[in-house]
Order: sequence, then structure tokens, then C-alpha cells
Amino acid sequence: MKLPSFVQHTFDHEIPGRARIRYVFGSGLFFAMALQVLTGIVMAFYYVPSAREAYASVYSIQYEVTWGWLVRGLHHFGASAVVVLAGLHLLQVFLSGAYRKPREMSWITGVLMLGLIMGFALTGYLLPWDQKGYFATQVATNIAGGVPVVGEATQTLIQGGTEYGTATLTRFYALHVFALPLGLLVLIVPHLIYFFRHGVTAPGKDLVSGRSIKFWPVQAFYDLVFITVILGVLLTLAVFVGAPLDAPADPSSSYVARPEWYFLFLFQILKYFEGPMMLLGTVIIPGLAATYLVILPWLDRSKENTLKARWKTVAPMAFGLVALAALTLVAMSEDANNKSYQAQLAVQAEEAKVAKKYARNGFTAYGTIEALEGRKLFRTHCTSCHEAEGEGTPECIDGKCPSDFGLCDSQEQCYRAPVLDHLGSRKWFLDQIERPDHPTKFGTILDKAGNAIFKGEMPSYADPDDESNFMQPTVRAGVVEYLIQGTGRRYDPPIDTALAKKGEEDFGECAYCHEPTEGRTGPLLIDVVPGSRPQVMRLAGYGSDAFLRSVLNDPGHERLYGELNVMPSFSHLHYTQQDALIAYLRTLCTDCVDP
Amino acid sequence: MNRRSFLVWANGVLGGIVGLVVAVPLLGPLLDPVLRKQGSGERPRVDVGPVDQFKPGTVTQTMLVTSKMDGPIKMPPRPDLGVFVIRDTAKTITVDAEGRSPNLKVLSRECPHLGCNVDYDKANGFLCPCHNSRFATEFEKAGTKQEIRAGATNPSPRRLDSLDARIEDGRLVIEVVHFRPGRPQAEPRA
Repeated sequence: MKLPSFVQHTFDHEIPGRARIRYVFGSGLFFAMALQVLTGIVMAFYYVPSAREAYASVYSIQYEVTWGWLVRGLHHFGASAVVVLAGLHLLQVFLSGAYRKPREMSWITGVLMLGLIMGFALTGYLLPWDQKGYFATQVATNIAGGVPVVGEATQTLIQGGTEYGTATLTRFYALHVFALPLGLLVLIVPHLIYFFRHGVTAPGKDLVSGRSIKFWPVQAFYDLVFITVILGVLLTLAVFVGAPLDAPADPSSSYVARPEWYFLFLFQILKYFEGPMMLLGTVIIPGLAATYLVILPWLDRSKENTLKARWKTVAPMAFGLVALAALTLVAMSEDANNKSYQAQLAVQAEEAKVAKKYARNGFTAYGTIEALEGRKLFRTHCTSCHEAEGEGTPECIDGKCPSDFGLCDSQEQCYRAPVLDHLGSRKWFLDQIERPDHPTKFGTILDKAGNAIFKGEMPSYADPDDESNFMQPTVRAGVVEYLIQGTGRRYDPPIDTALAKKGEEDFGECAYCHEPTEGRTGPLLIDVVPGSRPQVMRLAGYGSDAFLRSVLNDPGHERLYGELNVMPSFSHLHYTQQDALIAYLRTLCTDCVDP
Repeated sequence: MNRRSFLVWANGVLGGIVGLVVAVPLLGPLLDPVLRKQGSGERPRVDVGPVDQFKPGTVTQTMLVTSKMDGPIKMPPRPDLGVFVIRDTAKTITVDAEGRSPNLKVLSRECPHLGCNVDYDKANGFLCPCHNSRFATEFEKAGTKQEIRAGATNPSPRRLDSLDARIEDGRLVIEVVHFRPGRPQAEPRA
């Protein structure tokens, strides 16, 4: 079998002395980069570089596409492997003095490729458009923007505008998958050509021996063992740790970003320089270090190979490495000992979990996770009165609600409007029948004069002493079963139609105030039949999406809470925001199966 | 086995393992569309409005609008399939117990030849603009392949596909099905 000549050349190239483990790093790095290319191409089958769809497509790769999590995991940890291996390769080449004449071209192309690798890491971090990537990359582009004179224009150019958006993502994507790989290709060809021309830089004693061996099979074996170990580590990390995916980017949120671990030293430097001195940490010091690496072959023209003889170049390098390691360790330990940062990390992890839970129901055409947006809106607009999922009910102070709004219960919790947990579920309806005056229901709603509005308006139907109103538990269950039909949702256990039929008859008593649902002949809208009492809510479609939308827009409508209403209208919210709020409220139903 | 041939053998084994371990995970996403069950399996049924909008003896072109998943994204309602609703000349519509009517036929606009949308006009009848497949428009034979006239061609392998349509509360509800083009029989796509 005839091999292509460059492969034959690779197999046959001579190594002075003997095969050595120290020569494996270049091959290992090459393998890790090849793995990035392959896994990257596969992910590009799914990834969409748009501010609207990027997160959804990465979510899909991670949680929907067959083995997508595995490929993404390999790519994520592979990126770290490339950085580590590039560092080790550089260090090995440096220690053996291989940067010097006649190998300058190999060295310089290598240093430039290290720059490209950092470019890959920086651009790739943003692509998922999650919180971590978004906020960490903001720091990087703001650093570029802080450079005098050209900074602002540079930043605008990198971002494709004055702020982040799809134009930023398409630029980063184009750089990450087209420009940088092309640069790598252009540099790796001379890097390897020069390498094959001059071979490895063997230690003196190997050169003196005068013997040499071919790359194949002994050195190839060392390289392959190393590559197998790399792959094994990456696979283990991908399977047992997995690539992280944060909540979708939200510019308004309080997210504390950290760069990937290999950029932590740069992050740490930023803490030490104040005001205009910042440039020292962001540009000048890293720039000097990079320049030092590039001109190294001309700084050190010595023929001696021992470290002692090369101390003038070894010392700055050693200092740089120690500084880098120290900065990284200090950054890590500061974070580890920072209680508020650790607490914030826990909050962020929880946010990511919630986002991904809601994302299972799909993304909107705007690329948003509807219930997640709704949850944010709820916590912005609704929790000053309502509670859900433990958010919204303040503690009482000296038996009084903060700012004297609402009523305190025996648990010293201040309630001001119904707690919306379980909304739409059987439990919600049953609670309404059994204890309508409870503080978590309508019992603590006050009018402007501070009087309880609904107190006693509706009796409890579970009070055995109240003979005129008492309903047997089975009757109550029937009425509930009848009422949940009006929500238009699906339940687990499913709606018991026989029980619901029975409940419809028993509902007759409630119809005095609340009219029953219409059949499904038309949309489930709220309708009120004027009764002898003040306007009371008719239960047609209660708990349905249409009902919730009506309450948001016009809670004081005569079909809803009428003159008794104290809830403000939220008709100023955009319809997509109302959709989002409704989507969130839908998640509160505990026995519904349609999210 | 000497040291050299052992190493050659070991290199082969290691190279093979590395190659496989890299290649196999990549196959998952690449083959995902055929590995994973597509869609919910439920065929959407679309209400196209009151049935009396379709007048006796007419062919009406309309569209079926559905909400679909596009990858992870729930798309808002968008046109999914073009259809012809054909009504016979009877003045009234009769409906059987299941809601089906002998007075109405619904045909998919997707040409059974290669999937272009078939056009309709009074002069030409059902005509595919891509490769000139022609189908009958008279109610009795609606959608069947038209006989080939001298010098003409009609490459469609089968008649226009009909869709299940039912009348519910006076409204026409049509089941959305896309059929595979190019087959002699109508086969739904998944």
C-alpha cells in the first residue's frame, strides 16, 4: 500500500537518539484541535447564529439532538484541552530551547496560533448566548472599547454595532468557524513544514549518540497513548460533568460573570489597576508578554542548551508563568472565599435550572422561553400583592404589614391578594370552596379604606356547623370536577366526566352567584348574569387562558370583580408579555399535564 | 512477536479505538433526523370556516394554517398546505353521522409527481406548472389524472390526493396530511 507522501514523511521522519515522552505534546495538541474541528462541524448542523435562536438551538443540541450533549461536551472540554496542551507544548519547546535558530518560523507561527486559540476561546464563549457567555464577553469587548483613540471604533466593529445583538453573534460565529480556522490552517502548514525540516530538538546526549530512529512505530506509540489518554479524559468529563448551559442571556439581570478558568489571570489583573491605569492590565502587560514571546528567538541567540546558560530568557519566562499561576490561584481563592459570590452562583444555577425546565415546552418564535419571561414579569409586576412559588409575601413587622398594606395572619405573613400557587388545579378550586376567606385567598383583600372586601361575602361550604351551606366532601369534589372543565386544560388524573356531571347538578346552588360554563360551542369567555347581589364573578371559563387575559386587562369589568375590584389593569403590557405571564401562571397548576 | 511488530499492532489498536470513539458520537447528531421520531404523530385538523362559503358547483382554493415545531421553536400559525375544496351542484349539503358529506371533496394542491403546487383556473383546470401534470376538475372525477391529449404529457404517477374533511357545527374541518410524491399510491409522509 502506498501512503500519501506527507503521511509517509510523517511516519519516516527521523528522531535523533530515541523516542521520548516529552515529544508527545505537539501531536496531542494537533489531535485536540482536530477534535474541535469535527465536533464543531457537527454542531454547526444545528447551531443558529441569531440573538433570537442561538440559545434555543444550543438548548436543542444539549437536550434534544441524539448525543448532542456528548458532542457539545467534547467540544466544551476540548477547548480547555487545546489551551492546556498549547501551554504544555509551548513550555516543552521553550525548555528544550527549540525556539532558536533555525526553528524561528516554527516558534513564531506557534505563538501566533496560540493567539488564535485564545480568539477561538473568546468567540466560542459567546455563541450559546447564555448568561455566562453574554456577560463574560461583555467584559472582553468593553476592554477593547477602553483602548484610547481606536477603542470605541474597535468595539463597535467587533460588536457589529454599539450594543450586543445578532450582528455580534454573526460576527463571532464567522470568526469562530471561518476566519480563525482559516488563520490556523495558514499558520499550521509552515509550522509543520519547518518542523519536519528541522525535526525535534533532542537533548544534547541524544545528539551526541549519533543514532536516530524513525517516528514509526515507537514515537507514534507514545503519541497514540497520549492521545488516548486525552480522549479518555475528555470523554469522562463530557459524560460525567457535561457542558454547562446557563439561563438565556438577559441584559437586565444581575449576573456575575467569570471568564473560563484559563482567562482568570487576565480577569484578576483587572482588579489591580485603577482608572486610566486599567490600560496597563488590559493591553500593555499582555501586549508586552506576547511581544516577548514573538521576539524570543532573537533575544536568545546562545548556542548553549542548558537552562543555566539561558537564564536571561528563562527568568522572564519563569516569572511570567509564576505570575500567571499565582493570578489564577488568587482569582480562584478570592471567589471561593467570597460568600456573596458563592450565594450568587447558587442563585444563577437555580435560574439556569428553572430556565431549562420551562424550555422543555419549547421556545417562542422570538426565541424566548415563555414561562421564564412570565416568571420575571410576575416577580416585577405582581409580587407586590400576589405570591407564587414563595415569592411575594413579606414578613410582618410588629404584627403589621410593611407599608400598612395587607393583613397579617397568625404565621406573621403579610397577605394582600390571593396566593396564586396551584392556580387552575383541583386544589385551587377546592380551597376556594372550603375557605374563601383564608388569608391566602380573598380574605385579606382590602379596599382603600382598609376594610376587607370579600370577607364573608362567600361562605365556606366545608363548615359542618353551617347547615344551610355545608356540602359533603364528595359533593365538593364533584363541583370541583365540574369547574375544572372550564379551564380548558388537561389533568392528571383526567377529568372524571361522571363526577363532573354530578357536580354540575350540585353547582346549581352556586349558580345563584356564579353562572356555569357554557358548552364548548364558542370560546370560553367570561360572562356575568346580573344577580340580586353586587356583581359577582361568573365561573364560565374560570382559570382558562382567556379568563387570565381578561383579569390582566380589565379586572374591574362587570363580568369579573366589578365594583369590588382593587387590582390594577395590566393592559399596558405588550400582548407577548401577557402571553408570557399566562404561560407562567399555567405552570402553577399542579395537576395539569398541558404546560 | 518482536518489539517492533508489537508496537505496530498496538498502534493499530489504539488508532482504531481513538478513531471509533471520536467517530461514533459524531454520528448521533448527524443521523439524528432519522434516529429520532419526528413530530407528535398527531395530524392537525384545521377549521377553514363555515361550509356554506363553498358555493354549489365551484372549486375553491384555500390554505390550511397550522402551528408547528421548528426544531425547539413553537412557530405561530403559518400556512402549511394548499387545498382545493370542490362542491357538487346540489343546492344543499348532506352530512353523514361522522360529519362527512358526499357533496364535498378536498384535494391537496401538492402535485403527486414531484410536489409542486397545482394551479386551478377555469380554462386549464388542475394543471401543475412544473411538469404539466393535469387532473380532472368535474366533481365526479375530480383529481383523477386527465387523459393525455395528442402531443401532451402527464407525468404524475397518481391522482391528486384527497384529504379527510368533516363538517362540525356547520364548519369545514380538514385533516392536514402531506403525501409522498413520486409513488403510485398515496403514502402519508410520516
